[in-house]
Amino acid sequence: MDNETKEMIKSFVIESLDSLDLVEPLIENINDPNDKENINSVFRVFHTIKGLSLFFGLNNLNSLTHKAETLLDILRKNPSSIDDNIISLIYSTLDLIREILILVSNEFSDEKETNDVENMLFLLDDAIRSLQTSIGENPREIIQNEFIPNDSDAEIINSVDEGDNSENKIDDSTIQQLDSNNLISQEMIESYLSDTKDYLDNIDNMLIQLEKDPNNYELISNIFGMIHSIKGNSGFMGYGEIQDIAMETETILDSIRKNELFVESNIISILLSNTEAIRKRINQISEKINQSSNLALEEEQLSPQAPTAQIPQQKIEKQTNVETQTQEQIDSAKNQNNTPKLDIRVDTTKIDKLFDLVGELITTGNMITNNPDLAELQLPNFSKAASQLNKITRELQEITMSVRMMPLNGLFNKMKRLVRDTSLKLGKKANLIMSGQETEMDKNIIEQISDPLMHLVRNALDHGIETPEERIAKGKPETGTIHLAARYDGNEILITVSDDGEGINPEIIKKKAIERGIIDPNESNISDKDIIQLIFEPGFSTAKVVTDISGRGVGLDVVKKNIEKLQGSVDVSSKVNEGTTFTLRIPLTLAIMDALLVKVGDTVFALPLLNVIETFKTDSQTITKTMDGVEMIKIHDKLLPFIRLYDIFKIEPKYYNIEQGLVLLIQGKNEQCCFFVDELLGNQQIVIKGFSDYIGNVRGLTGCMILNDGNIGLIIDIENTLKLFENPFTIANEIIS
Amino acid sequence: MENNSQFDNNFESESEQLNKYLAFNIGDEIYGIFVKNINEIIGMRSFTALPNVPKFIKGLINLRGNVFPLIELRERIGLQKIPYTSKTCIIIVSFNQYSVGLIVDNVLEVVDIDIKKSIPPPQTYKGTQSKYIQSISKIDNDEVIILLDIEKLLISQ
Repeated sequence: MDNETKEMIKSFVIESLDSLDLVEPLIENINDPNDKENINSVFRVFHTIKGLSLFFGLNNLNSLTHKAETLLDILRKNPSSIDDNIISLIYSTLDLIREILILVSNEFSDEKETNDVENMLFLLDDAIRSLQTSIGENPREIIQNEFIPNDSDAEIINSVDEGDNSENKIDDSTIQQLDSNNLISQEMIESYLSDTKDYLDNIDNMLIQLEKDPNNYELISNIFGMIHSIKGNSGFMGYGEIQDIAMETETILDSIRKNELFVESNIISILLSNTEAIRKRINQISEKINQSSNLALEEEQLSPQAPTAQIPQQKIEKQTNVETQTQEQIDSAKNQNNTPKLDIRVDTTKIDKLFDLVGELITTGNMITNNPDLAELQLPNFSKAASQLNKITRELQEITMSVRMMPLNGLFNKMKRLVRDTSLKLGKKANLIMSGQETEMDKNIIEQISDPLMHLVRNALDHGIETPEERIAKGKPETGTIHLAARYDGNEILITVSDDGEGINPEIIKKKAIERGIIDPNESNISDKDIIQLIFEPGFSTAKVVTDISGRGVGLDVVKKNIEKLQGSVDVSSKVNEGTTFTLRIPLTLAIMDALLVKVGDTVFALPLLNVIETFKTDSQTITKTMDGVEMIKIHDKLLPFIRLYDIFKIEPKYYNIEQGLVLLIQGKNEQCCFFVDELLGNQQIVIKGFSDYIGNVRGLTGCMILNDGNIGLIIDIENTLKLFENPFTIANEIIS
Repeated sequence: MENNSQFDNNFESESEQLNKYLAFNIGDEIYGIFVKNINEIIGMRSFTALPNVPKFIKGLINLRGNVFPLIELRERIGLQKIPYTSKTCIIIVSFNQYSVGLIVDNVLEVVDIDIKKSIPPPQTYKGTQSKYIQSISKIDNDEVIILLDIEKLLISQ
């Protein structure tokens, strides 16, 4: 298999996965008799995948989507026969398709999935048969009702012979589907447009290549494949006219492929004029989109004025005419290509690399502008240039960061599915209410919070929401509610998962914690709030007992660990019989932050600038020492913890004496505190680096950074440091698993 | 395991390296690490101490923008730490996704080891630290070399 086919398959996989993601949330409502568009959208996606998989020789995928399509076809005629089992079956078919696609993107073949596909085909067949008997429909009829775009030669010739008739038929059906269609989202259209433009550009290039190398069969096949994709996608999107042109082009290419037609410059011209005609329509559509959102209507309005290149009729006779026309069109195409594209697809590894490079750039920029060699010199011009450099790198960083930002939509939609599947499995009833899906987050972080979030949602159903009977007995509505919400909060994103289930009983947690030796039985004055936090302790997760009694605690330590890896935090609050809320706080981005640099002994520490309220000198008068040796400082009429960083991090400081050192007033998440350091070094934008895989997390620190002199500075995790101060005995040597 | 599969793919060109070990001193003894695991050797340099980590992890060094943890090999294999000298070196080693610097007393040379002639650590020698030993062998001048198991050295608790 050559590289171009591989590329085509890859883009087929990516697009198919995208469309599956788009229709997945619709599956739940495909039985809505008032809105047939749900089932039609799912049908169309399966249909497109079916056509393309046949083209790429992915037979398993093809037969699977074909069967699924048959099922959906029956269902859309008999929406009343859709039940939970059928929906589950469609979901699992979708999962299998997705699995196959991922396999295909690596191996370019779907043979390894044969067993799974056969099993699924069996299930689908079963469902189809039982539906047919219950509806009493003749199976033959169903198969005839499908329109199958087939790449076999017979089909194509057929459609050419029938000419306008067959095309109109297809057109009508797609347009009908479109009439009630508001579900093809703006995004889908945009990606369709940009994909088609890419295809067209490629096809043009290849056609010109083909003119020089007319017997290159591979090239013809590639062009054919792309035109076919355009045809399929246009049909799916309801742009019948483009579909028609693509189909005509496909016919010509097929004749070339079968040596019925020879590649001459006039044929190439015809083909080019066809791609031009498609491009013109695509451009018109994108213009319209920018003006209005009522797409389906617009497309129909603009189609009559749009110039067409009716190929089969004109075919060879009008060659000369077409040729001159084409030249003009190519010129105008060049002009049109200057208009900005809607979007481009970029390999994520490239973006990550760019991100890393921007990080390096910031570090190196700092190294130059703050170079110790220049410290003593007066360099006004250099300073001016340096500050300009800083400004530009900062801007570059912001842009790069925004490239990786994505809305939480996709992640939240996954939860919809999860709630449905899990509640069915558990025999519970629950509604999922979502808000703030439009909140944007770093793509890499979204990937990493996916598992923890799924865990929390599953837990809410498993242990939070009661069975319908229990709920009725408690006087609650039979159906439970899980609320999933996201919103910005300063430099962080807050994601909450709340349920109205039975809540966490602190008494039971406490009992268990004492049994497991997590807390001392004599420690009676722990607040309920603190007790509930114990469910995040590793000791709790392994305990099946806890699940049996109060629920919660299964693997929550893992959730916590994963979120903390992202420099985020998890909190829980709960009321017995009213429900539980988990709150995730996650920083918007990981890599770069504005920091204040301080020095303790020989070590340089960085603190997030946002958290430092002020720095000041003080004297021992303001410090109070309790008999435990814990120090408090009086400042602005408040009494705050006074934390000597050298104590926490076990460093030999320059100053032990309070008068000599410097105090920082720090704003933690919930409380304020003061850090005692030797001296202040200034503020700077820093690039956060991890401590390497080998070390993993270090208590009290988020990571490290490279200083201007090439040494390494340590970045302080304020929350964690506060915890170390409050309970120094928890300083465990956790490392290396 | 990891190494085996690499060799299977590319046996011809790798076979030369099969028996090559980097020899270095800790105290009077000679130790060896398989050269495939070694990225580079640098002189001892200043590093940033890291709090709240196991004792044998000394801190972090920055090597051309990459951060490496430093392991005091003496302490890792249960020996007493001694002051650094001008001969003290850092060997940067990699195993799977881990890359660390090992602090050793003195780097000697790359030696050829006949694996077939090397023996497992003697039974009587099985103290707590002998788990880090892959095998014991001899080099040309009849000196004994202790070959370290890099995987256990890095990962074992």
